[in-house]
Amino acid sequence: MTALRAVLAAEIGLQLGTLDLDISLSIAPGEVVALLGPNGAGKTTVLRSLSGLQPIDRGHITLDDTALDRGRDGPMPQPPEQRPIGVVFQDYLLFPHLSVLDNVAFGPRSRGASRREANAAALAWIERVGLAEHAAAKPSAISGGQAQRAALARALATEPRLLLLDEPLAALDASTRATVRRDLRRHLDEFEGATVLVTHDALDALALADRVVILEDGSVTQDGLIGEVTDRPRTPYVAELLGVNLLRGQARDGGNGDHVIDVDGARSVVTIAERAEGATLLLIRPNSISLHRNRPDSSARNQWHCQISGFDLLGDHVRVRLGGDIDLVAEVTPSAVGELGLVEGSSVWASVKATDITVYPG
Amino acid sequence: MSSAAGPTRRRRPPLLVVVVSAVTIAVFALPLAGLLGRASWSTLIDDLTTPDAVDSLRLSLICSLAATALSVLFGLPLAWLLARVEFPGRSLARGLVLLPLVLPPVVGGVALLSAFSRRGILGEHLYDWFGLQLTFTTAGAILAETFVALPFFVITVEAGLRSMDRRYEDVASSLGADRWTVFRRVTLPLVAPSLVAGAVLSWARALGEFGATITFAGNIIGRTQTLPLAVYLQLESDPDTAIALSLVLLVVSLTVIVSLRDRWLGAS
Repeated sequence: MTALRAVLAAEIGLQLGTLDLDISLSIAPGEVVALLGPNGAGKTTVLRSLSGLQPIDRGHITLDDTALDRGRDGPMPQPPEQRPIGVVFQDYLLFPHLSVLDNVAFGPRSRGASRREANAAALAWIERVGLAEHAAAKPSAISGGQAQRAALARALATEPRLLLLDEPLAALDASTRATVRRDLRRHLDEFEGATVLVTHDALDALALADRVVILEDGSVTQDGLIGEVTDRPRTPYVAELLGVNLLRGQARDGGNGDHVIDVDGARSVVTIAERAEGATLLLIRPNSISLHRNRPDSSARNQWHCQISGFDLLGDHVRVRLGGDIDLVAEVTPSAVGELGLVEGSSVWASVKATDITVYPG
Repeated sequence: MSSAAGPTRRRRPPLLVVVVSAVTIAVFALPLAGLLGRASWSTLIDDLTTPDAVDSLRLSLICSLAATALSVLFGLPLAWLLARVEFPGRSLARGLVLLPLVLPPVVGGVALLSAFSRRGILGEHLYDWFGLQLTFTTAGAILAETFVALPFFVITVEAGLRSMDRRYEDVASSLGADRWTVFRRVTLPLVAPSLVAGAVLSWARALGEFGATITFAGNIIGRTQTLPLAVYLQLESDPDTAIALSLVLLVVSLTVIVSLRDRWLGAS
């Protein structure tokens, strides 16, 4: 994928309670990888094993050609304090009894710097994240956004090769989030090591990461550049994050030169523009679906008779959940809802042009 | 809705409960009032400065502070072990250490005698090898006080260690701190309130110790006769001094309660 040698190469196999984690991860210098997944998928456990707080059962964790952990059968894993890894924990966890300066100086100091060197390094980082005025403040006296920056400075002050961010923006309110996200992006751009960003927020992943690794139930279900994942989601979870319809089906010849996909056995039939083979994924964007009261007299190749099962208001659009011939979510304007007289339970016709459907192997 | 007592509406407490509570409070308050009433305030200073009184005050201070220091020194590692390490027999170990909380102190004294007297299991060797005798010495008084005071420190600090947010320790490790640095720079400061509370409680307990001390260390003026022993023995010969010394202990106890009020009496 990249010509640069990976900073981090890891194969993590780990059984923890009901979680059965089995993932492989490789990150290039300067690359930011977002680990995205639902709650309980094992994201935080991955961070804990990378940072050394949770030994792994099988596989290896290798950072700059140094094996940190080689599983249960290998030698003793390197303890967290010896790993060149910086962690920004969820809720930031600034030491409440230390000033911002002492918090940031804690790392250099623990790694053997003299008090003066540690304070100088800490001050430089505090200035870099724009907290110079608050260096002497206790964590309880600064805002959430400032705490995030202090926690980032504290993690970077140890000059780590790998930076781990656990839900770095989850604790912030919406108004500070955008600013902090932008600043974080800038610091990540300047950071030369590898970064793993754990999040369940797709927006954070889109804004901060170069590559997305989707973790579901302990396994990687998709791994790719941001654009690849948003263009071709592979699991219902990713499709839902992106707000698009993802259907999985079998390609067959529909006769008359048509190419069709059977979805859900053959409950739903979708006509596509080009020939496909075998197991196939279909991406249908909600705004490419048109709704009609009666069977439309259009050239759209796909026309399904559906019932409305619900509505969601999303910004200035209404998302209409459909069942019947096919399960889809369509997106229409609020005025269209009125014009078409759409109510829950009413039946509508949904149409999509074959050329508006993205088709890729499943 | 208006007929049922809503969650915000307070109902009057039952009369019987109020009466019984008032009687209970009176039972606790009356003796204190009696103590204050019987004190001969005009001679208080003189009573407290008789040579015997001064001796017992000085000795009590030395013994209780030494016992507190020993409780901290030996109790802290134990509290950490009980809070953080799962080992077979942990419950048993905790039970043993906490036993003096409920054991009659005089039984504690007898138990100490059987272990540390010149004919005790360990005391015999201490005497033979080092010429060290604990019974009837100040060291013995300190040991007796430590025996009853240490559990207070251990139980308080263990609870503090259990309730602290351990993720701060993870943060410190991730920043490169070894275990000792984590303990010194993160764990200790975060449990400092528990440390102080535990030390104050064990000091107060050591200061008031009577049964184990008199049984194990005896009652030798200037050597093992601490405040509570002096109060008890002077009640016959010099009641004014006994009451004056009691007042000292009462003031100390009140100070302890007030200083720990947030912890024990709830913020009000």
